[in-house]
Amino acid sequence: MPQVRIVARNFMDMVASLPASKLDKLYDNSFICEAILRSLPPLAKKYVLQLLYIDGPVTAKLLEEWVIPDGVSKHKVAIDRLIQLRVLSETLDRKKEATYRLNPTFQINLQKHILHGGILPREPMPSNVTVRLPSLEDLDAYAVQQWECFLLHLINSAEAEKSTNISSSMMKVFQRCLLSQKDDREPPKLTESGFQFLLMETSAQLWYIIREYISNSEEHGVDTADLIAFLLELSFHVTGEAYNVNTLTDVQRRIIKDLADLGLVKLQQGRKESWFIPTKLATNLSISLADSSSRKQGFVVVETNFRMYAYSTSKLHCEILRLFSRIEYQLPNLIVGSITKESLNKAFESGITSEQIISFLQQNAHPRVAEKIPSVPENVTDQIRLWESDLNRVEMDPAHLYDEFPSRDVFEAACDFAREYGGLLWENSKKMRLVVKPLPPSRNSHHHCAIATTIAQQLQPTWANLAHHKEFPSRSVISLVQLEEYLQVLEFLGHNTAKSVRVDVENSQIWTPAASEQRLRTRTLQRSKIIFRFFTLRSFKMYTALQKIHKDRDAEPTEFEETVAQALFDLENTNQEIKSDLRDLYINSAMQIDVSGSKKAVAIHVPYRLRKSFRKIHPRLVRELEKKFSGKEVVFIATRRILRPPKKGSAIKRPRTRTLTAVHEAMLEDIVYPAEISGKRIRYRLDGSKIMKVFLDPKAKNDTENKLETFAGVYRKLSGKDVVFEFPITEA
Amino acid sequence: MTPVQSKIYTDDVSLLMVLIDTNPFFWNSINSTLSFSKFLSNVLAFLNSILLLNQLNQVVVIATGYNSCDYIFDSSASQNHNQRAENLLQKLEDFVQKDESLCRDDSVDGPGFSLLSGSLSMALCYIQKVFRSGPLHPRPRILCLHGSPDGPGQYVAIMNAIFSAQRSMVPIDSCIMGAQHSAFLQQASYITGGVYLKPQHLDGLFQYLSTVFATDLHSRSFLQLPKPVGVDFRASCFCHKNTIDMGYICSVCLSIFCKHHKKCSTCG
Repeated sequence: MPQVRIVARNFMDMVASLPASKLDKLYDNSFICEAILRSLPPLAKKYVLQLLYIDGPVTAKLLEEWVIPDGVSKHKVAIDRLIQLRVLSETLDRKKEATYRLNPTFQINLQKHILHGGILPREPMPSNVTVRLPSLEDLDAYAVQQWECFLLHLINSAEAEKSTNISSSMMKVFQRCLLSQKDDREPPKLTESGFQFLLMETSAQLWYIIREYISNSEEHGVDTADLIAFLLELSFHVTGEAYNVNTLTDVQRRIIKDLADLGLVKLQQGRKESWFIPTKLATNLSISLADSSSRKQGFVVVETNFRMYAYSTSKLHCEILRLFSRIEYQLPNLIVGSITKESLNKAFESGITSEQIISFLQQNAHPRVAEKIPSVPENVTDQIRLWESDLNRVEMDPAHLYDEFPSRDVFEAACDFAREYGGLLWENSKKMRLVVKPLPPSRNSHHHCAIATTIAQQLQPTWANLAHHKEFPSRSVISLVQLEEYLQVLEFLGHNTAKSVRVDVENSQIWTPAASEQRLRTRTLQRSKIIFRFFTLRSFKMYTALQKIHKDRDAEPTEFEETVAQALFDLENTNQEIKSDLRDLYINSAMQIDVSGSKKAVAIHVPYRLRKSFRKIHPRLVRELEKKFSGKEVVFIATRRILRPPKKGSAIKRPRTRTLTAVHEAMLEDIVYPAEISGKRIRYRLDGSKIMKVFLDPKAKNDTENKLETFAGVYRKLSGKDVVFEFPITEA
Repeated sequence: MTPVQSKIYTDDVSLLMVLIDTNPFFWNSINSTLSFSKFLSNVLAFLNSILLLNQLNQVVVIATGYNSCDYIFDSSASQNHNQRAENLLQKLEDFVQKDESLCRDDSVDGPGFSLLSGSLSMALCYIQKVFRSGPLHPRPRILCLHGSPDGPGQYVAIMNAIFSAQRSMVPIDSCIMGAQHSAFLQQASYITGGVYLKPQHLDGLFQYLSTVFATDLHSRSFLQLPKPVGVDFRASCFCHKNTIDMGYICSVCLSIFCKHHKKCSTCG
């Protein structure tokens, strides 16, 4: 019985899958017998020929003796194929041995063929009736043109120049697998299989279309067997000879029209009669049924500098090349393009693989380069494959993290169990943590089930606990963390405090809350696991907004400070002009200060060393931040230390810059930047109170005029003194 | 010159050169098991079956006469399929008549022997022409249907043809219809890796041909074919064309002589 699976990948498989009665009926037609014989594997052909004149059954053992031991597999394949196609029938004789016999109709037809030579299905018409027969070159050109027009029409109806006469329902049938339509308004786009279809050889494409056509013939009332018989008959005609349409049946006439649209035949009208001329595509149909590759003239030359020269005028070739390369210019007989990373990425996104592109280039190599080995330069093929593998850098496996094993024994048992079913991905025996692949669902062994459930029950994995540590600020946002490093971070931080972590899978972030906010309490889950994706990345990045603020002596940033830091971070990532300047900058703290009732101001303390850099981008930064904190004014102040006056006994010399007055004066200067202080007046009232007036340079009057109150408020808050800012009226 | 391997079709497409022996002396002397017309009908059926097996198969028939050789049939020349047989037979008749009328006096061997060397050379030339044309070509092989005895005068030419076939990797199959074995063709098949067969029942010639000689080169590695039995490697001397067992050899060109010569006639 046939041991080979039937996969309808070529014509003969489709024939083989016909029901037995239809197949026997097919064999009445001698052309089908010939075509089927031609499509068999070579060994099978030999067997048929040898058995052709043997009338009685032949034992299987005898057949096996014909083959040498090395070829036994091929022998099996051949025999199976013959049985599949019902050419050979297997029977058990009296001695219970398998014997084979050729199908009688098949045998008779072939014998006739051999004795009398090939007979044509029909006679060509006499040449006096058929005038204006196209020459073979014209016929080829016509066939190619029709086929390309059909393909273009198939892919993109807007691009085809001539409209084909194939009914739109037929086109829809062909397009079904190749195109997908998101909605009716948009033009249909090619699917992955559509792209692969374009890159196939013409014979493979032709076969695909014919196969679709045959599968749909049932709906149109045409018998599949008849259609196959007619197509096979057609392939035995002589290219270039005219055959009368009157010799066709009605059904065949309908089919001929469709075939003419595809470019398989050319219909011509004479004065009284019409005839059809088969083109090379039709006569090659039976060649492409076998597995040999027919080489047609290639047209692409690929050079080592990634440039591509295609000697072709057809639009279809241009469209195909456009799929994966950048077409630079088009001359009357030459298309020049280059293979770039962007063009290849576009192709990969559409689902084309690098192997398809490379095999397309190799199969269509111009005869000049086709003889060279390799026909496409190696650096080009290697680079194409490398670029494809670039896109596959991140691999994601769903995984489970098990934590907080109650005892080492359970941990060991879990590890062994995971190793047993081959799902252990990562383990850490010190901290007793385990990352495993999900259990395969088909495991229904009781033993395994029991272990799995006991483990799951005994575990009370918490959300991973993160304590805040001075180097790892809480409320940290980690994106795209490599799992190992994440877990190392967990180890580094230890299990000291019971904080909890929120895992955000979509944005790949893990949040730990601030120490002050007890919003997320320690969660203990009765059942499993944190399911998140096990990332493997090449580079490890941990750049968050919390890097933008640095408080000393392990104080945690307040919520407001976090928002300021986040604003800075976002600004750096979005705004390209100040991105480079902002990169190394961070702040110390931020305060919100009420100024004159409703208004608020934001005072940002900046490390002393960075004040120059902050001053450089001050105007832009302030503008952006004021946009972020709408309505609030932003002021930058450098952090300066104020030392108390030294006590009697201490020998430390307190620098003048560390004195209170110096710091306050410097603070004042910081506050009013970019305006400059041109002068100060202290007015002493009679009751001893002081009023300080600060005169600002009128140069920056426009910018800072409305901020004077803010300045006063901020300074008031920071130093405790009242200041009045003025612009001097007279200026020399 | 060795052909480029990658340009050959990978499956069983083949180019078959058939060399038919038309020496009337041989065909008259054979006993009545096989007449020339029966032989021709077997051969025609065999050719039809070869052309049936694969659309791209090519068959070329060369007739080996006793005075001349000529191409009789070429399947790739566009001919009507219906009239293949008629064309072939017509051409064969013309050839036989021409051959008779030629009557060369200076022929190497004499009228009893057919010009195998000539037809082998013509076959090899055709094969070389095919190699140099087109992007792909079929795998060629030569089938010799021979019956006349070996003409010793053709020894050198036949050996040269055999070696050139060996270099081009063209196997030479031989089917002997005469009464005795042919040493030349045994050597030819042995050296080039072809099949040598002397059928016992000549009226079943078609079955022999289709079983053994219709195998394309691709499948030959999987099938059991008649093995060479005791090849007769005797050479014939260059001066008298007698088959000799021991002789003298020129140290430069390795030509064989039965008697000692001062000067080698081939290379001097």
